Amino acid sequence: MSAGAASVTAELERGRGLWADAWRKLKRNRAAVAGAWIIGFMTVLVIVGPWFSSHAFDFTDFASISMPPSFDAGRPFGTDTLGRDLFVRTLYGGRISLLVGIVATAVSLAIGVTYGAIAGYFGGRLDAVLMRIVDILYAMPFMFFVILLMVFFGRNILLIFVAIGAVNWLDMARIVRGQTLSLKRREFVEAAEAQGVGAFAIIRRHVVPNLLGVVAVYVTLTIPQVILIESFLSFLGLGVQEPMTSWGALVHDGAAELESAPWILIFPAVFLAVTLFCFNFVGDGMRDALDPKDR
Amino acid sequence: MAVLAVEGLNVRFATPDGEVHAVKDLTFALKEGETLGLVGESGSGKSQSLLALLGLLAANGRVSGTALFDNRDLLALPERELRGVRGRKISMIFQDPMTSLNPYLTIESQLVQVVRAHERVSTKAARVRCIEMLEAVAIPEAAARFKRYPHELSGGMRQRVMIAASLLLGPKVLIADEPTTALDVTVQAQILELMKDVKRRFGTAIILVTHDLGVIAGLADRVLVMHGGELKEQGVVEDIFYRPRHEYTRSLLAAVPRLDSASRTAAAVEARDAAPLVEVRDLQVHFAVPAPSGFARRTLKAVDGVGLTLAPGETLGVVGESGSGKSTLARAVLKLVPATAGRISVLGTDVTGMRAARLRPLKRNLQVVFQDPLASLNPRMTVGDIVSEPLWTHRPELTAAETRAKVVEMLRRVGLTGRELNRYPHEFSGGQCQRIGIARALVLEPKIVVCDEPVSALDVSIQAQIVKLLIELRAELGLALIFIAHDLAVVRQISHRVLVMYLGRVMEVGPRDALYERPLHPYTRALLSAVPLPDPRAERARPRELLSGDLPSPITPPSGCRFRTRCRYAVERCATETPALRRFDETHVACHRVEELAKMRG
Repeated sequence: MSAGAASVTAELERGRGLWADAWRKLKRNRAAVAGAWIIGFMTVLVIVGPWFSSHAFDFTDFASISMPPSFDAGRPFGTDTLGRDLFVRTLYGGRISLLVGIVATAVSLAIGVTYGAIAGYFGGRLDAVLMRIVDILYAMPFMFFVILLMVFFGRNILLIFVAIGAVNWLDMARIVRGQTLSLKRREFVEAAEAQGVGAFAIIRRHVVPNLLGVVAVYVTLTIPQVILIESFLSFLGLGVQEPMTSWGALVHDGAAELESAPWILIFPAVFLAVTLFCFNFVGDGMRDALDPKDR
Repeated sequence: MAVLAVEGLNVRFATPDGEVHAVKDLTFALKEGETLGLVGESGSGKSQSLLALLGLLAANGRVSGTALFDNRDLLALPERELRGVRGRKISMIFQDPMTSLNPYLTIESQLVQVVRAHERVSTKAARVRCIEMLEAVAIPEAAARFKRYPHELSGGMRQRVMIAASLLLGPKVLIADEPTTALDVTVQAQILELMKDVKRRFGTAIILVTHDLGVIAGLADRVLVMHGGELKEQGVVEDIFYRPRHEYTRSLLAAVPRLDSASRTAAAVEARDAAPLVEVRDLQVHFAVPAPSGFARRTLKAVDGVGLTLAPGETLGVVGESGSGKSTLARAVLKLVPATAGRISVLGTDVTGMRAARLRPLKRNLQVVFQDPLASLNPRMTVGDIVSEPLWTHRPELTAAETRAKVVEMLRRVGLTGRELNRYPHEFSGGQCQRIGIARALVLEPKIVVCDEPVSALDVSIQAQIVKLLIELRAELGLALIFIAHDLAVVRQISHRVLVMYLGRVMEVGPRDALYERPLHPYTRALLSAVPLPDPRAERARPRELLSGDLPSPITPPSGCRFRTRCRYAVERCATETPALRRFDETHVACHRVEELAKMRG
């Protein structure tokens, strides 16, 4: 055939990749799809919602302290013990919680995948040194580490990212290293080595794309975990600085008023719980969709 | 009289992509004491039809039809009654004996359990019967082996245990599903002999499922040929082999490579005097393996003193059983495993201690085709990217359009359309995947291609196509091949010279026809005689040189000549002195007694 590459382009057959397969399978999973929609809705809500409220998140209205929810008064979630609007505060808290969840996970993803893939692929002494570093970091008590950071640098939302990211990438690195070790023995990696493909090209083209399935599942399960850690820190008073808030901090405040003003606890707690549920559903759905055995 | 009469058997599977009709209207009868061969390639429905008879189908399978056995319809029996039939009256042997035996129980407890599950006998009586049966299947020191765990036995021994287990209850029908496929050819020959013996002594009717026409030729009385879920032809074994009526049977027979006949390819290479492309001298590849106890490490000598040369345009076949070190040899030549000692030079350059970066320019001329076609292709890469990758690595100066044009041309050359660029490996069949693998290896137009068992994972007819493709491309591109395979017939088809390995050493190397027609080394002779011929008369008439026992462990190889423990010609000298590779006639042989053996042959 004399036709050049241009004519070939026109008649190419369409491929059906593993990602497309997984996507199709994920779409069939109702819980995961519903979860993803709710997460999407929640994200839009926490970003856009506060613009439509006439209340500022940090404005203290002494005329309406601990006011129960009332649409007529324009306070659908009521107010807290300082008279701040709980609807706006819940959405602001959501911004922080989701941001911590996503940013800290992204940080741990970037560090963990690179670190784990290098350790696993090169193996030998490099692997031993890298993984011992991970072991040492693992052995540090997390709370102690956070308190230490607070003492040295003062309370700062950035420190939360640092602290959580510093701990979470360890798990990611271990998972990725394990996957890389088993991938390294697969024939297509050997084929690439035999062709003379360079080590970093092998990691980029052959190793990382093949462990993304496992990583994607782990990520969707890490985000809620990180949100929970942040909530826990805030609950202990080590998290965000007042008047800024997060879901964890709001739950902490609400827990103190459980008997007199339960709505202060209930609204943020429901938001937190629903988000966590949804992330877990999406994570489970992805695990099923990406399971290589089920094809 | 028919023991088992199957009529109108249909098997359907419900899958997300729609219904799969795996077996279509299968009708056959099994006569008392006869051996019925069931042949077909993968996907022909041969295994599924038998699983259906025993009620062992996967959960999404549906069966219809009748299967009369003992005046009862097996397909209509409730599960509880079927369980009484299964094992007791109809028993099964599977391909892989290791997965059929429980690794946590001794052979004794597993066999005794079989007997006691179906009959009311004392443990003691059951034990006696089991040991008798193990002796009947020629397991040496049966009483001692009885107390062992499955992993302590070799593959051949495990398959013998499985056969013993299946015969314990005196079944009327024995179903053997690829009973020798997982075994080495010399061990396969032993098991086939054993099955012939079983057939004679116990008079059990056997259904033998296999893709290997040689096995059928030796063992079966009648043959069913299946393809695409349909029964294409059935008849007496001689009719099927010598007077096939159905076209599919004919094409199947034509596709089988023949060990006993010269092939179509030219035997000799002209440019023998040219400098060799690959030269390996006294190569040793040793691996440290953990000792069973303590911290000491032992050495596994996978390759232990091997030399070879590869001339331009030549194909060197490397044969040997599993554990012979042939794949390790290939990996060492490709620098995928480091050499412990010895010298490897490629295109005149000594690569033994060379670092990966300096090796890269050489790899442009040294490419590889792997055994498992699907596993050797990255599942997340498109076919276009897979075949482009060698060009990205070695020809970075090419533009995207030039790379693409080369890839498309290569895909067409290996028999694909060139329109597959955006598709993924899992969308292709095994044979197509292997074509993609070959395209990837050849896109750089290398001088040398190492083929590590390139066809052993494929069906016979696909195998023939791939071998034909390799032969064509070899001529077109002037390739030199190192062709590693355990299938001696395939090697004979494609090779100019053949190298026989055993336990990490070369036993014999020489021009193909000399080696196949006048094998000198006792191991080569045993190996050749162990391969079943797809020709019932020849297969049943020829004398066998059966090897006893299994391959010794390469961690503790025998002293002197490695082969001596299984060699019937071994003398004292063989245990003390390692035979060197010596020239004899046209071949080089590593045997002390080659002159005597040649004379004995006449």
